[in-house]
Amino acid sequence: MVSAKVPLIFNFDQTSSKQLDIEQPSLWKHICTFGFMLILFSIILGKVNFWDNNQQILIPSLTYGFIIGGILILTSLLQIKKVSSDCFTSVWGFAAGLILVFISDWLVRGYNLFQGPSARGELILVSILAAFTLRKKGTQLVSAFFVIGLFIIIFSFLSESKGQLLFSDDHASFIYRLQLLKSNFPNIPFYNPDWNAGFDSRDFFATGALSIYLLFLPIIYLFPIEEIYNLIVVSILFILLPASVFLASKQYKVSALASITASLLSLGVSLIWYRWALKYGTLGFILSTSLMPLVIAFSARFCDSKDPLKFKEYFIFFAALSICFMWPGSVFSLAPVALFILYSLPQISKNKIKIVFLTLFILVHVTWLGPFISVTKIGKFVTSESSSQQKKVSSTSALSNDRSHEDLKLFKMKPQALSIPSLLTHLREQVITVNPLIIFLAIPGIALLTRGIQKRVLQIQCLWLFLCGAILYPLKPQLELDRLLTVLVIILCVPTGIAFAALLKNLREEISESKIKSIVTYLAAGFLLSTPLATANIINNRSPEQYFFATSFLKDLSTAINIHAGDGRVLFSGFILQDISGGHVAPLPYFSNKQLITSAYYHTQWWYTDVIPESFRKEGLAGVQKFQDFYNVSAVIAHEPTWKKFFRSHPDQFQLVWQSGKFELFKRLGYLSNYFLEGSGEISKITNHNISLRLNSDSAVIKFTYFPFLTATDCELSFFEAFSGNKFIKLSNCPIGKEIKIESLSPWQRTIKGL
Amino acid sequence: MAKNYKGTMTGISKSMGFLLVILFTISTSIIILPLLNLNTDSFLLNLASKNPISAVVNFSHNAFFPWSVDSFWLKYFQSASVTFLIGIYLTIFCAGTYLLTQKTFQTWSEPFFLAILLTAFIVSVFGFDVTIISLIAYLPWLILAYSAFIYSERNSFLYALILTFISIRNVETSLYLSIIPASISIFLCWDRSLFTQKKQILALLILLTPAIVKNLSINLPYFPDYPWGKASLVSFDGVAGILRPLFGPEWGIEVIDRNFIRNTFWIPSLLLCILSFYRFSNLSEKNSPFIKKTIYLALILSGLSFLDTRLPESLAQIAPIATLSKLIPGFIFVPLTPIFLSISVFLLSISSSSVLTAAKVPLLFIITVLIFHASDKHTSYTFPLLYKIQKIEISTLNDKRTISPSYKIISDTKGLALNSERFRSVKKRVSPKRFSALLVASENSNSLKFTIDRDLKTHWNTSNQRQTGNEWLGLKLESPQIIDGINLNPGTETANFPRGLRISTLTECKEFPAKESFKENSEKINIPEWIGPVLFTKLDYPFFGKQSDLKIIFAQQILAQCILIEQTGIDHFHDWSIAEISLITTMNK
Repeated sequence: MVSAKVPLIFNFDQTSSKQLDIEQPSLWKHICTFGFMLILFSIILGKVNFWDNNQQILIPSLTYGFIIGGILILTSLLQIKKVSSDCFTSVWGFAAGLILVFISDWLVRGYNLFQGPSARGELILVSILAAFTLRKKGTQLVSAFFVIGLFIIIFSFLSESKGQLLFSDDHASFIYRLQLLKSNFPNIPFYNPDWNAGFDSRDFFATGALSIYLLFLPIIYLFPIEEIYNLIVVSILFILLPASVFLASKQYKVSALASITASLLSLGVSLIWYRWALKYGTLGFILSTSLMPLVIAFSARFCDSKDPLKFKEYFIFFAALSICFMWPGSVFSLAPVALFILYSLPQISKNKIKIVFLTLFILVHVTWLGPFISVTKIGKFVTSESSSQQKKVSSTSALSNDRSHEDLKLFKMKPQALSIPSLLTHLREQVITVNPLIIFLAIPGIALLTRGIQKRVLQIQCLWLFLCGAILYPLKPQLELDRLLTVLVIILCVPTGIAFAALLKNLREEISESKIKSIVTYLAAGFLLSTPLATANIINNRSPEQYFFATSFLKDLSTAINIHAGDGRVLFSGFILQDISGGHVAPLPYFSNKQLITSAYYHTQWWYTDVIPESFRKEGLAGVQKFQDFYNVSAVIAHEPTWKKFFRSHPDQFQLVWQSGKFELFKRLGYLSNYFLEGSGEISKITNHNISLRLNSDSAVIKFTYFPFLTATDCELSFFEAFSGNKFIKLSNCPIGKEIKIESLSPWQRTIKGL
Repeated sequence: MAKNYKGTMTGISKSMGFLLVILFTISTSIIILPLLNLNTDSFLLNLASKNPISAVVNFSHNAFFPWSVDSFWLKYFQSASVTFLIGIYLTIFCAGTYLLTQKTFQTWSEPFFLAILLTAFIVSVFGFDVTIISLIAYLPWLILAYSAFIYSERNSFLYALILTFISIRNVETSLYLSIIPASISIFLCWDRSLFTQKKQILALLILLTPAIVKNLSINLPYFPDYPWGKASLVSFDGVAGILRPLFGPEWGIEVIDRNFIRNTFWIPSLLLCILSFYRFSNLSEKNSPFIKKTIYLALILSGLSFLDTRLPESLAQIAPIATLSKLIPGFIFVPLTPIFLSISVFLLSISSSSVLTAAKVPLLFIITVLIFHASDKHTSYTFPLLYKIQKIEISTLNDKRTISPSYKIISDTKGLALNSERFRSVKKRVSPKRFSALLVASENSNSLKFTIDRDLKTHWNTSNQRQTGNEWLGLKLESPQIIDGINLNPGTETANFPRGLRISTLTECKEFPAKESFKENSEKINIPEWIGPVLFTKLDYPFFGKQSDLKIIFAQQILAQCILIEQTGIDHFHDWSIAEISLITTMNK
């Protein structure tokens, strides 16, 4: 057995750590790891073809992968005298998998980060470039590619956006949430009459909007949201994330090359990452996930008495942890870290600064956790997998519960039993989108970590995320645990960077140059340095994941609503979800300055649900008008052929006043706006958090949705059921002619009262 | 570089040579080019209108790309034709080449002839390709100015100004391709010993900054609204899908005729590769670093061109030239192979020690091409200059759609309707049965009845699952009929369309005659490679539809009694199937 002593890849702080020597793995260890990697490769791909889908088979099936891999493992284990865990974690053995990626049909499978087969061109070209420069100027080369890549990506985003607002899916909702926070923070949650006659505006907690708001507070106050929203997204994806990964890797005391490699990788971890970030617009998740590598790295050091944090590091840790924590999913994601901190409490309690840190953290977060737990009924959400539970949860936005259970599909999928074929399919779908460098270098990267606590925390954390994201996700679909695989790949950037640095360092120290090792290293460099190019491809909307910017239609529609709405509300007939520049209708009240009604202004429903309940629709025109009268609808926007035909067929009731694309705006003829169902008075002002009115009688019913947490000045509030499932606000014992303000109780009052 | 040259010419002879070069090139360009009536204006049609976003189409390989004329020259020659401007670019190139090479030679005549020879050769081989001529125009000047600046010990500011001026002219002339001459100049003149010098860095910035800015600010002209994913404009290159850039603008549809590029340029690239390698292998320590680099670069560029043209297309798409097209904004619009080859020729010529050595390049090239052309019928190579003279017809140029990606369809499609009104008005399909048609075929006659049974699942097809180019099918109608077109529906066998198609007719015939009886003048359409039916966008830009759609509309109505449909292509895996034949006519029987 050939062995040699090689120096560590880490730059250890000489005062705190002793220099360790690592025995370089023998050839058999590389082969053993290669066998293990081959099994993983077969699990990921199943049947493997050579080059593309031309049916020239490389590995016929998973079974063959197991057999070949098993033979390699057994043969090498027989040759190795002392079997240890590093027999399965040789960086060369794993990195050789990249050759398989290159020659197999991996790159031509759909939803790949590197869109093949032509992606091989960039890989070859960049690998050749790396072959000339990597040995001597590896760090400079990776740094240069990071800077150039960042420039290309940001430039691509700017040129793709053409100055338009990112509006895809939930981005629209986030714009609205940030605007609401701008005008209402810290009084959240609150009653918002903008949509559906009033709703409980409380999803700042669940969506993580609060974290975005707090992080970007200065610019949000200085500029209109629509002018800086794109900047917020770009800052998180391309500045905060690489910075977080860079800082996180620094906590592991690794080389500059490892850190910059990890940062470069973070620009292109997987296609799914950009699906969540750009297409779905789940900004809370994106922000929280971006900070997780940093939080995990700091947490490990927090528990390590031998490596105390400095004051500024405590500050960064506190800020990162706090922002990360404001997306509720992070609690679940980081459960192992939290448990590790709890486990280390006896040791932590010996350090006063750490006690102060924890106390301060708890105090700060209790301020919002109380209202959050109170208003979101999180316990019910976690258990809400039956239709009956879904019905209860939906009550904040639904206009009526006069709907069949089929109407109320709140989640993408129903719970499913665990089955190996479906889990395998899910895993393959997810893994194929990930940067192959992470798949093949992360495991040896973790193995290369030498600091016990850091290694353990990272290992447990990764196992937890994999378990939840790949195995447990079908049990609780409402939790969307499959996202945790995306969290996992972000966290794995750091160990991947470490493994890449190790590859290069080992290559530099090779006495006699091995061609295979050189090829593997240059190919790994090819994958690494091509990462920003692959990302630019996604940003330029040239991947299967398409995202959208607001077109001029948004402005036209908002203006039309503002001009033609009249004094009442505007109703979107039928079901509208992502029909406006690929985004939700949520921010329309902000852009049009009018109150609106729709079936789903956020993505709260997954199936077609008509805004007008069936009981009204059955009655035909009379029923439709009755419903519109109930909600003081003075204009209607139709986009579905059936509803457009319906309104056009009643020209004496509905006048077509505006149209653009598939949308048509009809004004109700002969309708006088009236917000009073019973009694009379005058609505003097409606804002996005309260209603001001004067009454002509001591009691009245107004066409605004009732919630138990509402309060009114000098008035008693109760509800009035105008039709099944509906609750309008009933005012009693009110002063006549005096201004009455209806709004939500303060957050703390709601918490205390459990509303 | 400059310090490596030691010349012995006097100042007077230098100046005389320089003036002669300018006079000769400009007079040739201005007097002779218009006499040749080469329609060079068509290359830059609309450009002289000073429209900032103009389009150019290459008449050879159909590249359609944004381009504009350097406004600097338009200021002085407002009414000049584009031929004149091309003449100016060639003069600039020729004069620059003279200055660059004159230090190598003893007399003024050698660099003079070398510059003239090189200019003439590039024009004759690559034609009046605006991208190539613009790109090489300032290349020798860039090399001169760059080396003069970095090696200058005095007047650095003046040299910096000159370099800046030439760099800007280069960018304004070759636009988003300007990064190529800039990079070549840097490669040739880069001196490692000067790496830390501020001058070297400054020179880099002067050359690269305007070029990069130009690459990032490409404005696109109007592009017809072809149905994405359903239309094609040029023949199939053999690889599914299109090569898309990772960033920067694109058309979203294959515009460049890759088959033309591959067929035309593989011989020149092979030849230049061999020549470069020969020169490379003869390099010695005596050669200056500049000469060495020149030959290295010529070898690299011609080698890359050879890979691009000779590798199977699926592999060519991952070769460096295709990858560069994906990576550098704007490069996707033009084929880089002819550009690289022209630069390669330039580099080999300027590194020659004598005019005779330099002349070997064009001579060897011409001889080889002639040998290939004479010996191999499949070599479609023709000198671009001749190609253009043959190809472009004035009537074609009058069509507003000529300067569009549809150019290739308009110029190549003979006999098919290119008038969308005519195409749209012809809708009526009639079964040959209505004209009591007699059907005959080269083979498998028993199943001919399936072509008129109105069942798309039953077929007439050729045997052995292949197409040899000799299959035919004939229809004899009861009496002469006026027909507008013919539809050869392959039914469910969508892959079994004819690879090539020729349709000939006879106005009158008693029996269906022998195939040979259909003379050349009876030929109505001849499509050597069936790409698809010609369809039209809303604004009348033609494009090819699906290959399995064989709705053929003739350019004019035809009176015919006997119709011969020949399959002229070759396919080793698919037969030719017809599920249903119908005649297309506007006339009622």
